[in-house]
Amino acid sequence: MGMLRTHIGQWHRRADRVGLFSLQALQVLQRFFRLFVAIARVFLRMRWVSRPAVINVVIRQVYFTGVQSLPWVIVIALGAGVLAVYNIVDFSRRIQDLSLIGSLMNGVLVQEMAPFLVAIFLLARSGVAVVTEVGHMKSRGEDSLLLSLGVSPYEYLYLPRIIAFSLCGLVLTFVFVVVSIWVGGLVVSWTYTLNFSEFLFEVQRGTDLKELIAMIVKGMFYPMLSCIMLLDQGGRIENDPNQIPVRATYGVLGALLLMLFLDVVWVLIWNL
Amino acid sequence: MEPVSDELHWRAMEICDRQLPEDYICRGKNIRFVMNCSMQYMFLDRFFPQFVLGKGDDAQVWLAYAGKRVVAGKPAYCARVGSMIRRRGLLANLSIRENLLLPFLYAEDTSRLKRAEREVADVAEFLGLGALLYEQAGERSAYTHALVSLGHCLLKRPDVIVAQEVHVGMPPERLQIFRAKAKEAMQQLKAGVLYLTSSMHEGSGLNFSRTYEIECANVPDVSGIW
Repeated sequence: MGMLRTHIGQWHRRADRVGLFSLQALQVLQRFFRLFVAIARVFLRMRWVSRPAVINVVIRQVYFTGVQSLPWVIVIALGAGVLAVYNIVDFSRRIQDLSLIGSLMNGVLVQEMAPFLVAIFLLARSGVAVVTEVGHMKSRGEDSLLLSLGVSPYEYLYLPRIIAFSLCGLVLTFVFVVVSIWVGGLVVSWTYTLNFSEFLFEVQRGTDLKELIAMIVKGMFYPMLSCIMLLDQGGRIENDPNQIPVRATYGVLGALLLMLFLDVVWVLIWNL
Repeated sequence: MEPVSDELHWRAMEICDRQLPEDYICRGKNIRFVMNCSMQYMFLDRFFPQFVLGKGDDAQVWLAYAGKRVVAGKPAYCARVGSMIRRRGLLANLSIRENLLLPFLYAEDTSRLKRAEREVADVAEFLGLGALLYEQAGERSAYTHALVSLGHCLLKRPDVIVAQEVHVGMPPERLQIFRAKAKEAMQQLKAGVLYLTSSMHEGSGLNFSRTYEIECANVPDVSGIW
């Protein structure tokens, strides 16, 4: 009888933990959704376009997130992208079907690898900066200063960062793809009998509008949703600056998980 | 002819189980609330909300001007109500000049922005911030925060200012300088002040037409977003 009680007690504790975890996950989703709606509303009202203060922050954020990241993305594309192209061509040659080059390039590099690697890079470089910056502003009470001056924190703090992440995510993904394919093609043409124009012809033959749309959507939305997750975590820091590293870790991990989850959902929907 | 002054109204509101009375403030009239810090922050939340709370007749706080009722949080409200809140004067990643001009760079009013840009150097000189104008603000003392808050008010020229004891934490010699500058600025602005303090002997030098003393022992020690 005693053992049975202990056993039931254990199951109750497990059920409590599962329930608590589920409630916390739902709370995160709810906060995420509210933030998304509030920022979307501010964006769609388009008043930010006529506010020099907001445009100034947008330009600074685009410079930090996009322009300063460009050399790094090119380096990653030269490493990972070119290697992927080389391996795809090598694989196609081995099975003696060069027509696979285009479809594999689009399926692996354009649709999956480029948006994902760029989003991870943005997370690692600018994502941590976003949580830290917003967290410091919160802990110094700068968001309340903004309110007292009649400045919306959603418009001044959050929106520019989301615009920068979305825009730069898309552009950097495109840069990644172009650098990978062109430099990869040149490397392949130096090392194999397949010349550069044949390579480009195969790539073009396998290019599908659907896959380009997938690249654009992923290249823009993965960084955007990651940024909202990071802002949510940054916004949860109150008067305690010690929370900043904790929230930065949660933010980056949460954004990574969110991207993985979205990728799975995307594949399921895409293949229906 | 003297222009019609804006009037800042608020309904009776409950903060920490205490009823704060309904009242209003306008140019040339100072009202003081004596209550602890947490209550002050909760009170401030109503005057500078994150979202516009209530519409027209339902609003808790509103500004009446030219026969219109502008609810707290609306751009027109923010443009006409000044604020001086403790250690809330500066954004660290902007220069002092950008900080002083921020409300004007945000509001979509080109004429006010141009006027503020013309006046900002003089205001900074008056405040003793002329040499720092193009420096990044970074971490600054309570004194600089207070000066920039005062600068915002001088540039904005509101009829009503919601003020906390911004001088708390200043060294005595700075306090003297700040008091002199604040007195001169207030004489120039002639604005009504809603003053939030935790002591009857706050030493602001303002004459109050009414003082409300609100005591509450069991207030949570939180400042909310402030």
